Formats: sequence, C-alpha cells, structure tokens
Amino acid sequence: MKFDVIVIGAGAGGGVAAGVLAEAGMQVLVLERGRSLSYADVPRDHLRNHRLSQYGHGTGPDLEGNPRLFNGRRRNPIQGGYNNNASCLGGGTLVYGMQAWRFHPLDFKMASTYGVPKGSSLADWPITYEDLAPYYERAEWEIGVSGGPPAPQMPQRRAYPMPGVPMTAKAKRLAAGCAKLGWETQTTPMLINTVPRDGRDACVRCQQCVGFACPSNSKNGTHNTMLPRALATGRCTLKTQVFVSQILKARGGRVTGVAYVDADGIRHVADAGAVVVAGGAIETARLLLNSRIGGDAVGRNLQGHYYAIAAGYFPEPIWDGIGPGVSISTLIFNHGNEGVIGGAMLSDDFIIMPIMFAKNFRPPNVPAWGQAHKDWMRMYPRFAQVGGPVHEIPSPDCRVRVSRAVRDKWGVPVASLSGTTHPETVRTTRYMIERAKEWLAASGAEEIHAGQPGLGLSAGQHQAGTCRMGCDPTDSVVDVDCRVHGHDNLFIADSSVHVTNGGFNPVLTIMALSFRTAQSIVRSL
Amino acid sequence: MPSLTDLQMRTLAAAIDRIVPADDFPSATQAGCIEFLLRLIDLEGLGDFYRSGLDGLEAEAAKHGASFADLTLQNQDAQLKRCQGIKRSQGWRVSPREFIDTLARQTIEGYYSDPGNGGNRGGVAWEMVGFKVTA
Repeated sequence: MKFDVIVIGAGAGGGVAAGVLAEAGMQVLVLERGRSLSYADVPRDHLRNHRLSQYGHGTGPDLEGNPRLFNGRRRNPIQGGYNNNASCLGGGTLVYGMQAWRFHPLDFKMASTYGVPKGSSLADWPITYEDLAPYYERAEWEIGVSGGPPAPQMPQRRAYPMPGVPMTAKAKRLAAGCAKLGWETQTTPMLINTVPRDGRDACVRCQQCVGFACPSNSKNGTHNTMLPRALATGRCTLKTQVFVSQILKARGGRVTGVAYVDADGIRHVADAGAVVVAGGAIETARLLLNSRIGGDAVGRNLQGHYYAIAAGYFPEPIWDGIGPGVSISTLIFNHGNEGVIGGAMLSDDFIIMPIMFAKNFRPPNVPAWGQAHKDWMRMYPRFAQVGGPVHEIPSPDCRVRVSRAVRDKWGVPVASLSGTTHPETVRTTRYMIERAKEWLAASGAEEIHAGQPGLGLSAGQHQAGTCRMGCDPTDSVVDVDCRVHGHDNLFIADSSVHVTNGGFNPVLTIMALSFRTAQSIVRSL
Repeated sequence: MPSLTDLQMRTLAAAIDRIVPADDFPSATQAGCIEFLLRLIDLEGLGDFYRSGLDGLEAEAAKHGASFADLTLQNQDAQLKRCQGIKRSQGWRVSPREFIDTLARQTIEGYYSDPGNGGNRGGVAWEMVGFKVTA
C-alpha cells in the first residue's frame, strides 16, 4: 500500500503531524521505534526513570543495541553523554515535565538583537513569533494547557483552556521574594489537565511527575491527544517497535518512502507521497546523514539548555507535597540583561525525589556519608531550588555525525556527538545563577549554593538545532515550511529545525511548529 | 545472589551501618540495604568489585589486629575515611577510594530510593525526610 505521508517518530512533533494529516484526509503511516506503554508499564522506581536513570529507565531506548558515541566514547542510553530522550509512543511527552512555554518574540531574533559572537552560529529564525502565534494557540487548546495570563514580558494571547496549577507553600515564599524585588511573576503554564478535560481526569497533585507516567492520565502528551485523534480517523496506521534505517530517494530530489526494520529484524519498505521526520534532534540528523540527504549543515548546531540553578533552605519546612511542584515563574531575565546575550526563564522546580536531593544538592561542607549526611538529609522539607533553561548560544562545532565504526543492533551507523557550546552560553548561565540566588535570598532562604558551569555539550531532553531552518542551503537544512532544501516532499517536524532553542522549555514550540508544518504539507499535496 | 563469604557479609554490614548509622531512624542494614545491595551487585555484575573491596577493608583492619566489624565505631569511621583518600594501595585489588565512594553512593541509593528497591523498608527513610507519595 502506498501512503500519502509517512511520519517517522511518534513524539511531540510526530504525534501532532500525524493527527493533523490524518484529520485532513490523508492516509498516514506512523513508524515509532519505541513501544506503546501503559501507565503500569512505566516504572515508579526512583533509580530507574527518566529523571534519574541510574540503572535503567524503562521507557526506552533499550540499554542494549542502541549505542551512541560521545567524544569518541561508546555510551549506552543511561550513560553520561548519550543525551537520551524517552523512546516510546508519545516520546518524551509520556514522562515530561510539560511546561508549556511560548518562546519570546526576541528568541526568534537573537542575531539581530545581540550580534553574532565570534565562533558562534547564532542566527535569527526565518520566521517570527507572529508567524508561530496561531499555532501556539492550537497547541495550547488542542493538546491542553493550564495556566494564567502571560507575564508582561510576553505578548497578549487567548486565555488557556484551563486554570493554572495551585501555588505551593514554597511558591508563596518565592512570590513574596519577587514582590520584594519588584520582579513580575506568572503561573507556570503546563500541558496538564487541572480540571477534567478531553475525557480524562484532572491532575491528582502527586509527587512523582516529571520522569514518570501520570497516574490520572492528566499529563497531556501526544500519546493521549493527537495520536488517538489520528487513529480515530481510520486513516492512520501505527507501527511501534520499528526502526527506520533509511529515507529512500528518487532522481530529482523527491523521496519515495522509507526502509525500516521490525522487532524481529525483518526489513521492509514503505512507499509514500511525502515523508515527515520527527526522531528528535539527534536521531533525525542521524537518519538524514545515513540516507545521504542534506549538505554540510546536517547535524551541526546541536544544542539543548544549560540550566542556571541555585538552591537553599528555608528556616522552617515548606514542603507541602503538592505536585507537580512547579507553579511560579519569572520572565524578566529572558532578555535585556546587561553584558550578556539572552537569558532564561526562572521558576521553582518539581517535587524532588529524596534520592535526587541526596545526589545533586549536597553542599560541599556536608560529607558524602555518615551521621552528618543523615542529619543533612533531614533538611529536605526546608529545601528549595529555583532555576531555568538558559538560551544557548550555538556553536557549529557541536555536531551529530554518524560513526564509521560503531553500528546499532540492526547494523546501522550510530550517532556520534562532539563539540562544546559557545563560551557565551556559560557567561549567561553564570549571570542567571546569580539571579536565581538573589530570588532565593529575597524569599528568605539561607545557605544558598549553586554549582558552576563549564564548557560542555548540552543536548539532552531539550536537544535541538541539528537541521536548522533557513533560506540558505549552505548553512541551513530546511526552509521556512520545514521542507528539506532540495527535496520537495521531505519535511522535518521536531526540534532539529530550531535555529536557537529559546530561554524556555521547548516542547510547545515543537508542537506549534509541527501544527504549522503539517498544515503546509496538507496545502502542498 | 552473589556469593559473599560470611566474613565479607559481616564487613559489608558493619561498613554500611557507618554510611547510614542508626539514630532515632534505622541504620542501613536495619532498613534493608544489605538485601538492596546484594540484588544490585547481582544485577550490575559487581560481585568481584565488592568482594575485592570488602577483602581490602578487612586486610586494612587486620593491620590493627582486628576484623573490621570488631573495630570501635570511631575506628571504623576513621578507616573508611582513610581508605576513601587512597587511590591505590598494596593489598587491594580495587581502588580503595573507588570502593568506598561506590559503597557509600549505592547504600544511600538503597536507603533513600523507593521501598520497592528494598533498602528503604516500609518507607522509613521517606518518613524521616518527610517525603510521601499519594498516588
């Protein structure tokens, strides 16, 4: 059977594309390498989840047979440097922290706002905030966002379909700190049902949110919104546990379909009128490289987010157990910061698992074990951290390439990651850490501490940039419609196309772009 | 389950009770961390590493004419700290530092992670820190 469109990857981008295309009347084949997981399939193990993958994660990719190289060293999905994202139906959206930010209008104009630092590939997007705004609204309403009005730093928009998450005891302290400092705040927007909606329950305010599947199915990902919509049309064929090894080309730049391998290792070919790649910034670049599609720009500008985080303790317990735990944010440092490029949204954080508190927040004066360590663990209910994703200044030398030597279990060359971010990213991060400390101090926290960043590669769950959007095929991979240069019927619908990655969690931008790209595919076919 | 000798088991129990000592909340062994570690050693293939490290601790204690478990608590702490500062040592088949670091890290993983992992029996560690799961 020949399909109208093949969508590769059923995560944030692919799920949205599948829904829009199938509802527009197209025959769609969705190919997802991970499994379809129910709530019961996803571990509630504090050492094996997507927040802390010490010994496993349970949401894919499998630890065996899916290596990557990081600076030449072989890594499995839970080892440092792999830069893993969940591989399952819904992708990262099954287990994500679901913050639902629009990028700031200036996030699309970084080069013209700040200039291009030497050695960086900082550039403006070829589209603007206004181009994307209607699709942000679609994502907010069709996938389901909760929250209040936008902070004054953002343009006005239609209200969200659901009220925001409640303020926690910790957030009330932090709000008082902001009031003292004169910093404006807003409720953190989240892709979560705060009231029953779309036939599913409201959030039950549990404590195991980010990194875990949702016990009330109120976390809105593509697995419970756009993919079911695609399947309900009767025009969407979904195959899980199939791995696409190659995009097939005809003469003249058109693609004809894909080659894929099923769970038993049997090789198949599927034909289609168009192909949408949505494997995430690392796997999408790998697939294009393995298919010999695109020029030198493919795989460059790999980026994610540096996190500017500070932590401290309040004089008395502030833990109230009300999940997800994030409820207050400030956008006053996303732009306009003296002496640095860009900035970050700052917010409080999810309820932290005690073992993550132990691993990530032990101050230098507390020993790693013994009675003093146990005494320090009792500070847990007084603990608070604030932080946020720093707008990364991209480097063309942060790259995804394919390995000549290492192959996966199907014999396909694996992704090889290398490079470090631009030093300006580190400078902005240091600046933002100071702002995070200020916020905690004004809120009454004590013993405030923070780690200091160094030069490294950031990609992780916010991975982006490897097939950037642009007008010039020599330094970009897709055009303004997210169509691969030189290939009329090949599109990319994930964060690979982000020119820069904003000072925000990127998922709503991925979804909005995918609505827009799918819409343009409908028009073009 | 990995095969540890009785002596190795005794050393392990004594050592992890210095990592998380008893106070008004249980020690590591009292909360199930032995069972957690034995399962983890098995799953992660750490048998040789643990056997070598525990033998190293025992050999170190023998210099003071005692078994590690029979040292005073103060001397156990002192020995663990001393070993943690030594990268390589004669008589050790693994790095003393790496062994103590790993032993401490994994004991703490058992004690403070979910009760399903076995080292936080009945959620005692969560009760101590004030963490609760409601759904």
